[in-house]
Order: sequence, then C-alpha cells, then structure tokens
Amino acid sequence: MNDNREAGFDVETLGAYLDGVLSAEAANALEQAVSDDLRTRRALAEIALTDALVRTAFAGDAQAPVPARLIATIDQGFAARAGDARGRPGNRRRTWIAGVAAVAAALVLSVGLSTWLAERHVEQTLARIEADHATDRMLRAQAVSSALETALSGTPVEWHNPDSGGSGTVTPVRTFRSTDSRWCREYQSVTTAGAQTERKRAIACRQDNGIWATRVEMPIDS
Amino acid sequence: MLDKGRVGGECRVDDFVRQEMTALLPRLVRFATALTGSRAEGEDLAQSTCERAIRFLDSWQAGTRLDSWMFRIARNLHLNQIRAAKVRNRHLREVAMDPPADVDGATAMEARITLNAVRNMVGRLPEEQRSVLMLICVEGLPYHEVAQVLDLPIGTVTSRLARARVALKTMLEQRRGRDARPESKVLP
Repeated sequence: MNDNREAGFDVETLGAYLDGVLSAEAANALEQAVSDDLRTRRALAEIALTDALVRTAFAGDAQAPVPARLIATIDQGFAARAGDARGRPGNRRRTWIAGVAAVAAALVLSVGLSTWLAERHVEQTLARIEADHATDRMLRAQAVSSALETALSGTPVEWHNPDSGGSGTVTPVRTFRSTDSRWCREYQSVTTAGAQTERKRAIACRQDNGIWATRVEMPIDS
Repeated sequence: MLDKGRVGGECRVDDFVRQEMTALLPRLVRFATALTGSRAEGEDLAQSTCERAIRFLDSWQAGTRLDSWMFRIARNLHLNQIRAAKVRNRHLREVAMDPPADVDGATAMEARITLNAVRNMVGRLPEEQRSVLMLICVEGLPYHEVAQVLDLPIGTVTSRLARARVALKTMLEQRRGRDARPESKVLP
C-alpha cells in the first residue's frame, strides 16, 4: 500500500523546493525524481508556472507610483516622533542601532546567499524540464509529418524521447481531398508523458510547400 | 539635561526606519491591495498601517524584519475592519480584484487578459490562503516569517500555501480547457 509514495511528491514538497526551503537532502531526492519520473517533472513545472503567473500578475502593483499622501503620512509621523523624543528620557533604543545594523547585514547575507544558491538549482531544474518538453514536442511534430507523408492509413509511426521518457504514436486514419482540392489526412495521436496519456484526433492538410498543417485537433477520451 | 548622544542616535535610527518604511510602501500597498481587492482601499489600508506602525514603533522588536511587522499590522487592521463590518467567516472571504496596474502601457492585450484572470483567481482564494500566497510567492518572505506575520504554526502556513497552489492550478486548467474547446468546432 505505498500508493502515496508512488504518487510522487506532494504539492507542499514541490512548492517548498521552488521556494528554496527544502533541505539539501530532500532537494537532491526531488531532483533525482525529476530526472527519472516525468510525472514529477510535470507537476513541478505546473507549480512553477502558476507561481510565475501570480508573480507577474502582481508585479505591476509594486511598480505603480505610491500616492504622495502615503509618503507624507510617514514623514509627518516621524517628525512628530522627533518632537516627542526631546522631552522623553532615553530607553532601550540606543541598543537598537547596533541591533538594526546587525540584522540588516545578516539579512543581506543569509537571505541573499541562500536564495541565490537555491534559485540557481531550481532554475537549472526548470530549464531541463522545459528543454525536455520542447524535445517531446519536436519529436511528435516530426512523427506527425513523417506519418502523414509516408505511412499508410492504419500504420502507426512511433517516437520516443529517452531523455524525458516521453513517447507516442501517430497513426493516419483516412485520406481525403478537401474542398480546396488539397490532400488531407485524419490521424490519431497518442502521447505518453510519465503516467499521463493524451489521445488526440486531428486533421491536417498538405500545403503547397509540402508541410502538413494541422487544421483541427481535439482530445478524445481514452 | 539633554543627552546629545542619545537624541542623536535615536534620530539616526528613526531616519533609518523612516527610509526603510518609505522604500517598503510599494510592496505594502500591493499586499494591502491583494487583501482588499481594490487599489484605492489598499492605499487607505497602507496609510493606516503606516500611522499605526509609527505610533507603536517602540514595540517593534529590534532584530526582526520591518516588512514582516508591517504586513502583520496591515493584515490585522484589515481583519478588524471586516470584523467591524460584521462579515462572517472573514478568513474565508473572497474579493473581486482590480485589474493589473498598467505600468509600461505596452503589455500585450492577450497577456493583460490572462494576468487579469489570474488576479481574479487569486481574489477567489479564501483570505487565509491568499495572504499566505501573496507573502511567500509575491513578497518572497520566508515561511517562518509568514508564520509570525499570520500568527500560525509553520505547518499551517505550508498546508495553506499548498492548498492555494492546488486551487490556482485547478482554476488555470479549467480556463485552459474553456479556451481550447471552441477550436475543435472549426472544421475545414
């Protein structure tokens, strides 16, 4: 009953990895899984995409100008404090200066360095995921054009990406002339990435330049 | 007797904090906007936050982050306001989110539509998840800081963050499904 383990890493762990807070040991295990298991890779990529969208969607809010009244509130508030301070005996605030300076320095060092180190790894992992995706897409596109150009209807053309573990078949189903008298072919494709399998039915027509352009594509339930 | 050294030191610290607080304003307004859903209300909330922070500056612990402390004040003020307005289940409240600020004016139409949709999805998250997501994902606060800002154990922070991410992922998938469907109707 190790379904949970087989299901791979949960969103909490994947997120923690992207946030750079996973222990080195756990991060290594995850990076290994990302290399071995396509489902983990996809899951990680999806969270990274979601995060990136959220970050971008709110990026402008911190770049838009802040109303002058807010800055005035701060300036006036501190001016009033300075007025009060003159009549008030000193308290623990002198130790503050050292404290604040030390904290500021520590922050720059610890946050800066650890996020930089973590991000460097995460960036590399995400780049690898993206590269694998791109290779899968390219191999599939090549299989589509080779199947449509050369394969008899009913004969599958296979592709396989050893780096990502992704694979699939493209099978022409029937051939016909379109109303604008082009050669068109209906085909089915099966794409497997990790545990996910995607089936599609599509129609492509051969253009004057010899390239098969897919005109319709719809997912079909397995 | 006036102690010149002390007053001088205090002014320097105050100056340091004032500058840091001013520099923090854009992020404070952003967080407050995400809490309220509206830029105007977010600016008002940021203003009350600054007033309160300066009034209670002496209770800010040396050695802790100013941004965390102010996010905490902003969020508590916001919850108080909602409480005063007698909104039930305020931790679960959703908001209608203002569209993204048009900074460079050059953002492509399509991108703006997507980003606006993402903002609305974030607005649809319950407040307790939205705060965690904004503080970690957008403001880049460490988990333990967020735990302090929101008065939560770290485990609750991580589980709320995971729930927020799953919810967003699902909403994005639904949207992608909607976008993809019309295509299949166009037959040659």
